[in-house]
Amino acid sequence: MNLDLATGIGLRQPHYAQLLAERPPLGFVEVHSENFFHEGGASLGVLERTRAHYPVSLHGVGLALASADGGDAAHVDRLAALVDRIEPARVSEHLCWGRVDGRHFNDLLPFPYTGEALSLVAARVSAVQDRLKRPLLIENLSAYVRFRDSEMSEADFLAELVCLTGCGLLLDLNNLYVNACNFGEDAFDMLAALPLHAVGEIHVAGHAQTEYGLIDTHGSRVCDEVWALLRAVRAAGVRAPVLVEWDTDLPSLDVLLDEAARAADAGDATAREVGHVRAA
Amino acid sequence: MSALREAQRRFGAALAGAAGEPDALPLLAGDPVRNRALLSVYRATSVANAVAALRLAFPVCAQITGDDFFDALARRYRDACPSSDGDLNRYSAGFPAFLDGFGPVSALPYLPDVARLEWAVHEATTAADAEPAGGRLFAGLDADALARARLRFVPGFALLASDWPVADIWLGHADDAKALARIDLTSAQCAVVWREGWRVRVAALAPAAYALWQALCRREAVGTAWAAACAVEPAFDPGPAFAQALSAGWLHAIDFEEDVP
Repeated sequence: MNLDLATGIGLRQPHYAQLLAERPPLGFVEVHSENFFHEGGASLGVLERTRAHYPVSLHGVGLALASADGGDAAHVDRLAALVDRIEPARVSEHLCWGRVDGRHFNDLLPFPYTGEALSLVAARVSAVQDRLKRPLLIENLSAYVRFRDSEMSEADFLAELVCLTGCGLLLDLNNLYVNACNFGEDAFDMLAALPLHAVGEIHVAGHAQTEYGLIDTHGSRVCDEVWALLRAVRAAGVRAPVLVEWDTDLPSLDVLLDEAARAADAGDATAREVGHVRAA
Repeated sequence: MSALREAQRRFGAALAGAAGEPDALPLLAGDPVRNRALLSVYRATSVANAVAALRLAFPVCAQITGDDFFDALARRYRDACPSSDGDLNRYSAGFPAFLDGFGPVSALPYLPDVARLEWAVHEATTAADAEPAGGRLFAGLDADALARARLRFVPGFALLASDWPVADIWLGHADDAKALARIDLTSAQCAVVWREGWRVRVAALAPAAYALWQALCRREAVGTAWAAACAVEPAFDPGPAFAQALSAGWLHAIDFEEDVP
């Protein structure tokens, strides 16, 4: 589905009624897939009604694709059923692991970027894509630690994964910025190393400053540096839709719509600048 | 052993408890002091996600125990029964059984059954949508045919028999977090849970009606279920019970013996 330069927000329970009543002009909405894995009930009904008015992006947090433990066939089946039901515009997951020896930590955990991990994740992504009969978008992770055994950067890992599987990239600019700050790297250099041609969706979000560095909380407004990254992505010609992610300390719908308008402005401003450059 | 699995085992052990940190630290690049703090951030996130899932499913239990005690309970549950599923909405199913044998809540003996009722409510909330049978489900049936019939219930319909007034406790807490103080805790009670449209309902059931519905949920024939109710209350009249079921929308369909595979 063509969502070029579209902007969206997360569909969250406190906003269900207002969003359906007012139907603000959004390009799409996004939900966490696992919150709709059940068979029926009010929230699934709201998602179906929302889907009648907006494209939906399904964003998974539980597949744990890099878990050495083995694939989670039941989880993939539930995702496939939801995909059939909602016919989403995008389906995405994270570049992370979460389960070992039968225990699931229900978090997005980092792992060493090795050849072994690449083979495993590529096989897993391919299997999920075959099951869903559509490409997955894989999101770059905010990781607070790095592994001694890593043989490549996350960007190189993702570039290889895109080559091996044909998957797309969910480019999370806040994650990128958080990692850049925490590891003392340049966010624009990190951006340039990613396979930007494969970006199918962009996330922007807020983070928190803690004594341990930046933590990816999705609980505040997007910072100026992340908006600058979005303008750089647009200037590089990436037209993928952008989502304002906000999960903790959820504000009123108006605040989210305001952030979505700022995300749209970043695209417009860049288009004007690029236009001026081309005209000159 | 794969190097990736070994790294995840060691990292996972540090998320399960601080005792796992020393084995995980050599995996990580950079300052070990800082890495140790960051492992504890990951551990806290994993704990917070599990606690949040339990709070979502058991709000009345949290009202009864208070939030701090409930969070401590949730952490002990995570230690005893770790999540095994990528969908945290499924994680809490074992919480009532965990409470059964858990010493620190023995002063709140009704808590496990309140948790059972809340889990039934949680399941009903997300059960499949199904059209309830219309008011004419039994129309035109003679007594023999009715006695041989079996009933199917709408998804999410659930029954609970308790030594405690669980329905009163649940209903009281819907609008009053301190409801426990005014409930007579000495009475046993049966409860029924169902979904009316998108709204989950809870009601108390008389013991004979509970026996009737429980037998029907086990796929006993109506005649057998009626006998089970009469064993509890000899003069039991099923008419009002069936009228309640039809008006509340508990029933989905009726099967006769020739329909049953």
